[in-house]
Amino acid sequence: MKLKLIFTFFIIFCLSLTAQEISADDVKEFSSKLNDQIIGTIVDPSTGIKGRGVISIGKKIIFQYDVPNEWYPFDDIKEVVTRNLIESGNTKIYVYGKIDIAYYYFKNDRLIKMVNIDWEDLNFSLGDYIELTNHPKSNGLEFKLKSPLGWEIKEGDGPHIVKKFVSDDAMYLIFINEIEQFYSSKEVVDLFSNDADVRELLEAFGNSSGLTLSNYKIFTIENHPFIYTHGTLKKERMGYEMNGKVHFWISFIEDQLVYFMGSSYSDNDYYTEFFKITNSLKLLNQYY
Amino acid sequence: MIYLIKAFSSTAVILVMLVGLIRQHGYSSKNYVKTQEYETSKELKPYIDKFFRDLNSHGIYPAIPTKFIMKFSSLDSHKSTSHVHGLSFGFEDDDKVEIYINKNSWNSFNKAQKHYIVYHELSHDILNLDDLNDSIENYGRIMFPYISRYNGLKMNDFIENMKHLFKSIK
Repeated sequence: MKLKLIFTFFIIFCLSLTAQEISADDVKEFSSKLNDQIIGTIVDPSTGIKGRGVISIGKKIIFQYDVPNEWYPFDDIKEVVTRNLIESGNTKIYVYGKIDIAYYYFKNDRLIKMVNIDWEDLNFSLGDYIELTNHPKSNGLEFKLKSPLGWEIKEGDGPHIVKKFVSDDAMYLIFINEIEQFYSSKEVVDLFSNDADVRELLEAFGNSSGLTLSNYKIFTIENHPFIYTHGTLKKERMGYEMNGKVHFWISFIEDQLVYFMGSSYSDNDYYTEFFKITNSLKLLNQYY
Repeated sequence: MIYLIKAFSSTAVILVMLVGLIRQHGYSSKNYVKTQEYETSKELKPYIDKFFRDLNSHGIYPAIPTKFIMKFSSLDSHKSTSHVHGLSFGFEDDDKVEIYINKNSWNSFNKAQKHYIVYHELSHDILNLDDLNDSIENYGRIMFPYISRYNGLKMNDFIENMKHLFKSIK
Protein backbone atom coordinates (compact mmCIF):
# COMPACT_ATOMS: atom_id res chain seq x y z
CA MET A 1 0.00 0.00 0.00
CA LYS A 2 2.76 2.36 1.01
CA LEU A 3 4.70 1.50 -2.12
CA LYS A 4 1.64 2.11 -4.23
CA LEU A 5 1.31 5.59 -2.78
CA ILE A 6 4.97 6.22 -3.44
CA PHE A 7 4.59 5.14 -7.03
CA THR A 8 1.54 7.34 -7.42
CA PHE A 9 3.52 10.24 -6.04
CA PHE A 10 6.35 9.44 -8.41
CA ILE A 11 4.01 9.44 -11.38
CA ILE A 12 2.54 12.79 -10.37
CA PHE A 13 6.01 14.11 -9.68
CA CYS A 14 7.28 13.05 -13.06
CA LEU A 15 4.24 14.20 -14.96
CA SER A 16 4.57 17.58 -13.31
CA LEU A 17 7.82 17.93 -15.14
CA THR A 18 5.60 18.61 -18.14
CA ALA A 19 7.43 17.97 -21.34
CA GLN A 20 10.77 18.06 -19.54
CA GLU A 21 13.08 15.12 -19.83
CA ILE A 22 13.37 13.15 -16.62
CA SER A 23 17.02 13.45 -15.69
CA ALA A 24 19.33 11.16 -13.75
CA ASP A 25 19.19 13.69 -10.91
CA ASP A 26 15.38 13.45 -10.84
CA VAL A 27 15.65 9.68 -10.64
CA LYS A 28 18.27 9.92 -7.90
CA GLU A 29 16.11 12.27 -5.85
CA PHE A 30 13.14 10.00 -6.14
CA SER A 31 15.18 6.88 -5.38
CA SER A 32 16.33 8.53 -2.20
CA LYS A 33 12.71 9.12 -1.13
CA LEU A 34 11.81 5.55 -2.03
CA ASN A 35 14.79 4.30 -0.08
CA ASP A 36 13.56 5.96 3.11
CA GLN A 37 10.22 4.26 2.74
CA ILE A 38 11.29 0.77 1.73
CA ILE A 39 14.06 -0.09 4.21
CA GLY A 40 12.92 -2.82 6.58
CA THR A 41 9.44 -3.02 5.09
CA ILE A 42 8.03 -6.48 4.43
CA VAL A 43 7.11 -6.17 0.78
CA ASP A 44 5.78 -9.69 0.37
CA PRO A 45 4.25 -11.19 3.54
CA SER A 46 3.80 -14.58 1.87
CA THR A 47 7.55 -15.04 1.37
CA GLY A 48 8.93 -12.68 3.98
CA ILE A 49 10.90 -10.62 1.46
CA LYS A 50 12.01 -7.38 3.08
CA GLY A 51 13.04 -4.05 1.56
CA ARG A 52 16.78 -3.46 1.82
CA GLY A 53 16.99 -0.15 0.02
CA VAL A 54 16.66 1.70 -3.26
CA ILE A 55 19.51 3.26 -5.16
CA SER A 56 19.91 4.69 -8.61
CA ILE A 57 22.67 4.54 -11.14
CA GLY A 58 22.12 7.05 -13.90
CA LYS A 59 18.55 6.50 -15.03
CA LYS A 60 18.28 3.06 -13.54
CA ILE A 61 16.41 2.48 -10.28
CA ILE A 62 17.62 -0.53 -8.33
CA PHE A 63 15.27 -2.06 -5.79
CA GLN A 64 17.16 -4.22 -3.26
CA TYR A 65 15.59 -6.89 -1.10
CA ASP A 66 16.62 -9.24 1.69
CA VAL A 67 15.19 -12.70 1.17
CA PRO A 68 14.78 -15.52 3.71
CA ASN A 69 17.11 -18.53 3.64
CA GLU A 70 14.40 -20.76 2.19
CA TRP A 71 13.70 -18.42 -0.73
CA TYR A 72 15.10 -19.23 -4.16
CA PRO A 73 14.47 -17.26 -7.35
CA PHE A 74 12.38 -19.05 -9.95
CA ASP A 75 13.90 -19.66 -13.36
CA ASP A 76 11.74 -17.19 -15.26
CA ILE A 77 11.77 -14.48 -12.61
CA LYS A 78 12.50 -11.72 -15.14
CA GLU A 79 9.53 -12.72 -17.32
CA VAL A 80 7.25 -12.98 -14.30
CA VAL A 81 8.30 -9.62 -12.87
CA THR A 82 8.03 -7.93 -16.28
CA ARG A 83 4.61 -9.46 -16.83
CA ASN A 84 3.39 -8.39 -13.38
CA LEU A 85 4.61 -4.85 -13.89
CA ILE A 86 2.92 -4.52 -17.27
CA GLU A 87 -0.31 -6.17 -16.21
CA SER A 88 -0.55 -4.02 -13.11
CA GLY A 89 -0.33 -0.94 -15.31
CA ASN A 90 2.63 0.47 -13.37
CA THR A 91 5.00 0.79 -16.27
CA LYS A 92 3.97 3.99 -17.98
CA ILE A 93 6.23 6.19 -15.93
CA TYR A 94 9.28 4.07 -16.66
CA VAL A 95 8.49 4.14 -20.35
CA TYR A 96 7.74 7.86 -20.27
CA GLY A 97 10.93 8.65 -18.39
CA LYS A 98 13.02 5.98 -20.19
CA ILE A 99 13.98 4.64 -16.77
CA ASP A 100 15.43 1.15 -16.48
CA ILE A 101 14.77 -0.82 -13.33
CA ALA A 102 16.50 -3.63 -11.52
CA TYR A 103 15.72 -5.95 -8.64
CA TYR A 104 18.61 -7.22 -6.51
CA TYR A 105 17.99 -10.03 -4.05
CA PHE A 106 20.29 -10.57 -1.05
CA LYS A 107 20.49 -13.60 1.21
CA ASN A 108 22.59 -13.19 4.37
CA ASP A 109 24.08 -10.01 2.89
CA ARG A 110 25.17 -11.84 -0.21
CA LEU A 111 23.77 -10.87 -3.61
CA ILE A 112 22.11 -14.01 -5.00
CA LYS A 113 20.06 -12.72 -7.91
CA MET A 114 19.90 -9.68 -10.18
CA VAL A 115 17.00 -8.94 -12.48
CA ASN A 116 17.55 -6.11 -14.96
CA ILE A 117 14.64 -4.80 -16.97
CA ASP A 118 15.12 -2.22 -19.72
CA TRP A 119 12.40 0.37 -20.06
CA GLU A 120 11.81 -0.80 -23.64
CA ASP A 121 10.81 -4.21 -22.27
CA LEU A 122 8.21 -2.50 -20.15
CA ASN A 123 6.89 -0.61 -23.13
CA PHE A 124 5.95 -3.73 -25.05
CA SER A 125 6.30 -7.44 -24.41
CA LEU A 126 4.52 -10.41 -25.80
CA GLY A 127 2.74 -12.81 -23.49
CA ASP A 128 1.73 -16.39 -24.01
CA TYR A 129 0.58 -18.00 -27.22
CA ILE A 130 -3.11 -17.95 -27.96
CA GLU A 131 -4.12 -21.16 -29.72
CA LEU A 132 -6.70 -20.23 -32.36
CA THR A 133 -7.00 -23.46 -34.36
CA ASN A 134 -10.34 -24.38 -32.84
CA HIS A 135 -11.80 -20.90 -32.91
CA PRO A 136 -15.00 -21.05 -35.00
CA LYS A 137 -13.86 -18.12 -37.14
CA SER A 138 -10.46 -19.68 -37.87
CA ASN A 139 -12.11 -21.94 -40.49
CA GLY A 140 -9.89 -24.85 -39.49
CA LEU A 141 -6.63 -23.00 -40.04
CA GLU A 142 -4.13 -24.41 -37.57
CA PHE A 143 -2.24 -21.53 -36.00
CA LYS A 144 -1.36 -19.65 -32.85
CA LEU A 145 0.25 -16.33 -32.01
CA LYS A 146 1.23 -14.29 -28.99
CA SER A 147 -0.82 -11.45 -27.57
CA PRO A 148 0.87 -8.38 -26.08
CA LEU A 149 1.04 -8.12 -22.30
CA GLY A 150 -1.30 -5.52 -20.90
CA TRP A 151 -3.43 -5.37 -24.05
CA GLU A 152 -7.04 -6.42 -23.86
CA ILE A 153 -7.90 -9.57 -25.81
CA LYS A 154 -11.34 -9.32 -27.40
CA GLU A 155 -13.45 -11.46 -29.66
CA GLY A 156 -13.78 -10.04 -33.17
CA ASP A 157 -17.01 -8.17 -33.74
CA GLY A 158 -17.09 -8.70 -37.50
CA PRO A 159 -18.00 -11.95 -39.24
CA HIS A 160 -14.41 -12.86 -40.13
CA ILE A 161 -12.46 -11.16 -37.37
CA VAL A 162 -11.13 -13.89 -35.12
CA LYS A 163 -9.60 -11.83 -32.30
CA LYS A 164 -8.60 -8.28 -31.48
CA PHE A 165 -5.81 -7.08 -29.22
CA VAL A 166 -6.56 -3.60 -27.96
CA SER A 167 -4.43 -1.07 -26.09
CA ASP A 168 -5.09 2.58 -25.24
CA ASP A 169 -4.62 3.85 -28.76
CA ALA A 170 -3.80 0.86 -30.90
CA MET A 171 -5.61 -2.19 -32.14
CA TYR A 172 -4.44 -5.39 -33.79
CA LEU A 173 -6.86 -7.77 -35.42
CA ILE A 174 -6.77 -11.19 -37.05
CA PHE A 175 -8.95 -11.65 -40.11
CA ILE A 176 -9.71 -14.96 -41.82
CA ASN A 177 -12.12 -15.56 -44.68
CA GLU A 178 -12.57 -18.54 -46.97
CA ILE A 179 -11.67 -18.04 -50.61
CA GLU A 180 -12.98 -20.21 -53.41
CA GLN A 181 -10.10 -22.60 -53.89
CA PHE A 182 -6.95 -23.99 -52.31
CA TYR A 183 -3.58 -22.43 -52.96
CA SER A 184 -0.33 -24.25 -52.29
CA SER A 185 2.54 -22.32 -50.74
CA LYS A 186 4.34 -22.43 -54.08
CA GLU A 187 1.35 -20.91 -55.87
CA VAL A 188 1.25 -18.10 -53.32
CA VAL A 189 4.98 -17.51 -53.77
CA ASP A 190 4.47 -17.36 -57.53
CA LEU A 191 1.51 -15.02 -57.19
CA PHE A 192 3.36 -12.67 -54.87
CA SER A 193 6.40 -12.61 -57.13
CA ASN A 194 4.32 -10.99 -59.85
CA ASP A 195 4.30 -7.26 -59.19
CA ALA A 196 1.27 -6.58 -61.41
CA ASP A 197 -0.79 -9.25 -59.64
CA VAL A 198 0.12 -7.98 -56.19
CA ARG A 199 -0.73 -4.41 -57.15
CA GLU A 200 -4.06 -5.59 -58.55
CA LEU A 201 -4.81 -7.41 -55.30
CA LEU A 202 -3.84 -4.43 -53.20
CA GLU A 203 -5.94 -2.12 -55.33
CA ALA A 204 -8.94 -4.36 -54.64
CA PHE A 205 -7.96 -4.54 -50.99
CA GLY A 206 -7.64 -0.80 -50.53
CA ASN A 207 -10.51 0.10 -52.79
CA SER A 208 -12.78 1.28 -50.05
CA SER A 209 -13.37 4.76 -48.77
CA GLY A 210 -10.66 6.29 -46.70
CA LEU A 211 -7.99 3.63 -47.14
CA THR A 212 -4.83 4.68 -48.88
CA LEU A 213 -2.16 2.03 -49.13
CA SER A 214 1.48 2.74 -49.81
CA ASN A 215 3.97 0.48 -51.44
CA TYR A 216 4.40 -3.14 -50.43
CA LYS A 217 7.05 -5.67 -49.50
CA ILE A 218 7.00 -9.44 -49.42
CA PHE A 219 7.79 -10.91 -46.01
CA THR A 220 8.27 -14.54 -45.10
CA ILE A 221 6.68 -15.63 -41.86
CA GLU A 222 6.82 -19.29 -40.91
CA ASN A 223 8.14 -20.15 -44.40
CA HIS A 224 4.99 -18.64 -45.87
CA PRO A 225 4.93 -15.46 -47.98
CA PHE A 226 3.00 -12.43 -46.78
CA ILE A 227 2.42 -9.07 -48.42
CA TYR A 228 3.22 -6.24 -46.04
CA THR A 229 1.69 -2.89 -46.79
CA HIS A 230 0.77 0.16 -44.80
CA GLY A 231 -1.18 3.31 -45.22
CA THR A 232 -3.69 5.66 -43.71
CA LEU A 233 -7.33 5.41 -42.75
CA LYS A 234 -9.61 8.39 -42.36
CA LYS A 235 -12.24 8.20 -39.67
CA GLU A 236 -14.91 10.74 -38.89
CA ARG A 237 -16.58 10.89 -35.49
CA MET A 238 -18.85 13.66 -34.22
CA GLY A 239 -17.68 15.88 -37.03
CA TYR A 240 -14.00 15.41 -36.25
CA GLU A 241 -11.75 13.74 -38.74
CA MET A 242 -9.02 11.46 -37.47
CA ASN A 243 -6.24 9.99 -39.51
CA GLY A 244 -5.16 6.53 -38.55
CA LYS A 245 -2.11 4.56 -39.47
CA VAL A 246 -2.62 0.99 -40.59
CA HIS A 247 -0.25 -1.89 -41.21
CA PHE A 248 -1.23 -5.10 -42.96
CA TRP A 249 0.34 -8.51 -43.37
CA ILE A 250 -1.72 -10.38 -45.95
CA SER A 251 -1.54 -13.87 -47.38
CA PHE A 252 -3.45 -16.86 -48.64
CA ILE A 253 -3.04 -19.99 -46.59
CA GLU A 254 -4.69 -23.14 -47.91
CA ASP A 255 -8.14 -21.84 -48.91
CA GLN A 256 -8.23 -18.87 -46.56
CA LEU A 257 -7.48 -15.20 -46.96
CA VAL A 258 -5.59 -14.28 -43.83
CA TYR A 259 -4.52 -10.86 -42.78
CA PHE A 260 -3.21 -9.22 -39.66
CA MET A 261 -4.01 -5.55 -39.32
CA GLY A 262 -2.58 -3.12 -36.81
CA SER A 263 -4.06 0.36 -36.57
CA SER A 264 -3.70 3.42 -34.40
CA TYR A 265 -5.29 6.85 -34.28
CA SER A 266 -2.58 8.69 -32.41
CA ASP A 267 0.78 10.21 -33.21
CA ASN A 268 2.39 6.89 -32.36
CA ASP A 269 3.15 4.47 -35.12
CA TYR A 270 3.04 1.00 -33.61
CA TYR A 271 4.75 -0.75 -36.50
CA THR A 272 7.35 -2.42 -34.28
CA GLU A 273 4.72 -3.72 -31.87
CA PHE A 274 2.47 -4.95 -34.68
CA PHE A 275 5.45 -6.56 -36.37
CA LYS A 276 6.38 -8.41 -33.18
CA ILE A 277 2.86 -9.78 -32.79
CA THR A 278 2.72 -10.89 -36.41
CA ASN A 279 6.19 -12.38 -36.23
CA SER A 280 5.08 -14.57 -33.33
CA LEU A 281 2.72 -16.42 -35.69
CA LYS A 282 3.10 -20.19 -35.69
CA LEU A 283 1.44 -22.09 -38.50
CA LEU A 284 0.96 -25.52 -37.00
CA ASN A 285 1.53 -28.84 -38.75
CA GLN A 286 3.25 -27.21 -41.70
CA TYR A 287 6.60 -28.90 -41.39
CA TYR A 288 7.96 -32.37 -41.86
CA MET B 1 -6.89 -14.58 -59.61
CA ILE B 2 -10.49 -13.44 -59.86
CA TYR B 3 -11.28 -15.38 -56.67
CA LEU B 4 -8.56 -13.55 -54.87
CA ILE B 5 -9.76 -10.17 -56.05
CA LYS B 6 -13.26 -11.10 -54.91
CA ALA B 7 -11.91 -12.11 -51.55
CA PHE B 8 -9.96 -8.90 -51.27
CA SER B 9 -12.99 -6.89 -52.25
CA SER B 10 -14.89 -8.68 -49.53
CA THR B 11 -12.16 -7.76 -47.12
CA ALA B 12 -12.56 -4.14 -48.00
CA VAL B 13 -15.98 -4.32 -46.37
CA ILE B 14 -14.37 -5.05 -43.04
CA LEU B 15 -12.17 -2.06 -43.51
CA VAL B 16 -15.19 0.05 -44.23
CA MET B 17 -16.72 -1.27 -41.02
CA LEU B 18 -13.57 -0.31 -39.21
CA VAL B 19 -13.88 3.28 -40.29
CA GLY B 20 -17.41 3.32 -39.02
CA LEU B 21 -19.33 2.95 -42.22
CA ILE B 22 -21.73 0.10 -42.65
CA ARG B 23 -22.03 -1.66 -45.95
CA GLN B 24 -23.24 -5.03 -46.97
CA HIS B 25 -21.42 -7.36 -49.25
CA GLY B 26 -22.71 -10.45 -50.99
CA TYR B 27 -19.78 -12.84 -50.88
CA SER B 28 -20.54 -16.27 -49.57
CA SER B 29 -19.34 -19.63 -50.74
CA LYS B 30 -21.93 -21.91 -52.30
CA ASN B 31 -22.97 -25.04 -50.55
CA TYR B 32 -22.93 -27.73 -53.14
CA VAL B 33 -24.42 -30.41 -51.00
CA LYS B 34 -27.59 -29.55 -49.22
CA THR B 35 -28.02 -31.29 -45.93
CA GLN B 36 -31.73 -31.74 -46.26
CA GLU B 37 -31.38 -33.65 -49.51
CA TYR B 38 -28.42 -35.84 -48.72
CA GLU B 39 -27.45 -38.11 -45.95
CA THR B 40 -24.14 -36.86 -44.66
CA SER B 41 -22.44 -36.50 -41.33
CA LYS B 42 -22.30 -32.90 -40.19
CA GLU B 43 -18.55 -33.10 -39.67
CA LEU B 44 -18.01 -34.37 -43.21
CA LYS B 45 -20.14 -31.78 -44.96
CA PRO B 46 -17.53 -28.97 -45.15
CA TYR B 47 -15.09 -31.41 -46.77
CA ILE B 48 -17.73 -32.53 -49.27
CA ASP B 49 -18.56 -28.91 -50.09
CA LYS B 50 -14.89 -28.21 -50.71
CA PHE B 51 -14.58 -31.25 -53.00
CA PHE B 52 -17.31 -29.92 -55.28
CA ARG B 53 -16.02 -26.37 -54.96
CA ASP B 54 -12.57 -27.51 -56.11
CA LEU B 55 -13.99 -29.58 -58.96
CA ASN B 56 -15.91 -26.52 -60.13
CA SER B 57 -12.86 -24.30 -59.87
CA HIS B 58 -11.12 -26.76 -62.22
CA GLY B 59 -14.00 -26.55 -64.68
CA ILE B 60 -15.48 -29.92 -63.73
CA TYR B 61 -19.22 -29.95 -63.09
CA PRO B 62 -20.33 -33.53 -62.40
CA ALA B 63 -23.95 -34.54 -61.94
CA ILE B 64 -24.67 -35.22 -58.29
CA PRO B 65 -26.77 -38.36 -57.81
CA THR B 66 -29.95 -38.04 -55.84
CA LYS B 67 -28.88 -40.93 -53.65
CA PHE B 68 -26.01 -39.38 -51.76
CA ILE B 69 -24.82 -41.03 -48.59
CA MET B 70 -21.53 -40.14 -46.97
CA LYS B 71 -21.24 -40.75 -43.29
CA PHE B 72 -19.21 -42.26 -40.52
CA SER B 73 -19.46 -45.91 -39.70
CA SER B 74 -17.88 -48.18 -37.13
CA LEU B 75 -15.99 -50.15 -39.74
CA ASP B 76 -13.70 -51.40 -36.98
CA SER B 77 -16.51 -53.42 -35.48
CA HIS B 78 -16.82 -55.68 -38.54
CA LYS B 79 -14.14 -58.27 -39.12
CA SER B 80 -14.08 -57.76 -42.90
CA THR B 81 -13.65 -53.98 -42.63
CA SER B 82 -11.67 -53.65 -39.44
CA HIS B 83 -8.63 -52.23 -41.25
CA VAL B 84 -10.57 -50.13 -43.74
CA HIS B 85 -10.53 -46.34 -43.40
CA GLY B 86 -13.22 -45.69 -45.97
CA LEU B 87 -15.56 -47.64 -48.22
CA SER B 88 -17.36 -46.48 -51.33
CA PHE B 89 -20.17 -48.33 -53.10
CA GLY B 90 -20.92 -45.91 -55.92
CA PHE B 91 -17.92 -46.64 -58.14
CA GLU B 92 -19.07 -46.78 -61.77
CA ASP B 93 -22.63 -46.22 -60.65
CA ASP B 94 -23.67 -42.72 -61.61
CA ASP B 95 -26.93 -43.00 -59.72
CA LYS B 96 -25.49 -43.15 -56.28
CA VAL B 97 -22.81 -41.99 -53.90
CA GLU B 98 -22.53 -44.26 -50.92
CA ILE B 99 -19.48 -43.79 -48.76
CA TYR B 100 -18.67 -44.83 -45.22
CA ILE B 101 -15.71 -43.42 -43.32
CA ASN B 102 -14.20 -45.26 -40.38
CA LYS B 103 -14.85 -43.00 -37.42
CA ASN B 104 -11.82 -44.25 -35.48
CA SER B 105 -9.56 -43.65 -38.47
CA TRP B 106 -11.03 -40.18 -38.91
CA ASN B 107 -10.35 -39.30 -35.30
CA SER B 108 -6.74 -40.39 -35.65
CA PHE B 109 -6.14 -38.60 -38.96
CA ASN B 110 -4.46 -35.22 -39.27
CA LYS B 111 -6.04 -32.40 -41.26
CA ALA B 112 -4.39 -33.40 -44.54
CA GLN B 113 -5.43 -37.06 -44.17
CA LYS B 114 -9.04 -36.02 -43.54
CA HIS B 115 -9.02 -34.11 -46.81
CA TYR B 116 -7.26 -36.97 -48.56
CA ILE B 117 -9.80 -39.61 -47.54
CA VAL B 118 -12.86 -37.52 -48.39
CA TYR B 119 -11.46 -36.53 -51.80
CA HIS B 120 -10.30 -40.13 -52.40
CA GLU B 121 -13.68 -41.72 -51.70
CA LEU B 122 -15.64 -39.04 -53.55
CA SER B 123 -13.32 -39.43 -56.52
CA HIS B 124 -14.34 -43.10 -56.64
CA ASP B 125 -18.04 -42.38 -56.61
CA ILE B 126 -18.31 -39.03 -58.39
CA LEU B 127 -15.45 -39.30 -60.87
CA ASN B 128 -15.39 -43.12 -61.15
CA LEU B 129 -11.65 -43.17 -60.52
CA ASP B 130 -10.06 -46.40 -59.37
CA ASP B 131 -7.29 -46.87 -56.83
CA LEU B 132 -3.73 -46.41 -57.99
CA ASN B 133 -1.11 -49.11 -57.52
CA ASP B 134 0.79 -49.29 -54.27
CA SER B 135 4.00 -47.89 -55.70
CA ILE B 136 6.42 -45.24 -54.56
CA GLU B 137 5.66 -42.93 -57.49
CA ASN B 138 2.00 -42.87 -56.52
CA TYR B 139 2.71 -41.97 -52.91
CA GLY B 140 1.02 -38.68 -52.10
CA ARG B 141 -1.54 -38.97 -54.89
CA ILE B 142 -5.22 -38.71 -54.01
CA MET B 143 -6.05 -42.17 -55.40
CA PHE B 144 -3.21 -43.93 -53.57
CA PRO B 145 -5.05 -46.62 -51.60
CA TYR B 146 -3.32 -46.30 -48.21
CA ILE B 147 -4.23 -42.98 -46.64
CA SER B 148 -2.98 -44.20 -43.26
CA ARG B 149 0.56 -43.93 -44.66
CA TYR B 150 -0.01 -40.21 -45.18
CA ASN B 151 0.37 -39.31 -41.53
CA GLY B 152 3.54 -37.40 -42.40
CA LEU B 153 1.96 -35.40 -45.20
CA LYS B 154 0.77 -31.82 -44.84
CA MET B 155 -1.98 -29.72 -46.34
CA ASN B 156 0.44 -28.46 -48.97
CA ASP B 157 0.91 -32.05 -50.20
CA PHE B 158 -2.82 -32.53 -50.35
CA ILE B 159 -3.36 -29.28 -52.27
CA GLU B 160 -0.69 -30.06 -54.86
CA ASN B 161 -1.92 -33.62 -55.38
CA MET B 162 -5.58 -32.62 -55.50
CA LYS B 163 -4.75 -30.09 -58.23
CA HIS B 164 -2.65 -32.67 -60.05
CA LEU B 165 -5.62 -35.05 -60.08
CA PHE B 166 -8.28 -32.56 -61.12
CA LYS B 167 -6.10 -31.07 -63.84
CA SER B 168 -5.40 -34.55 -65.20
CA ILE B 169 -9.08 -35.43 -65.63
CA LYS B 170 -10.33 -32.11 -66.92
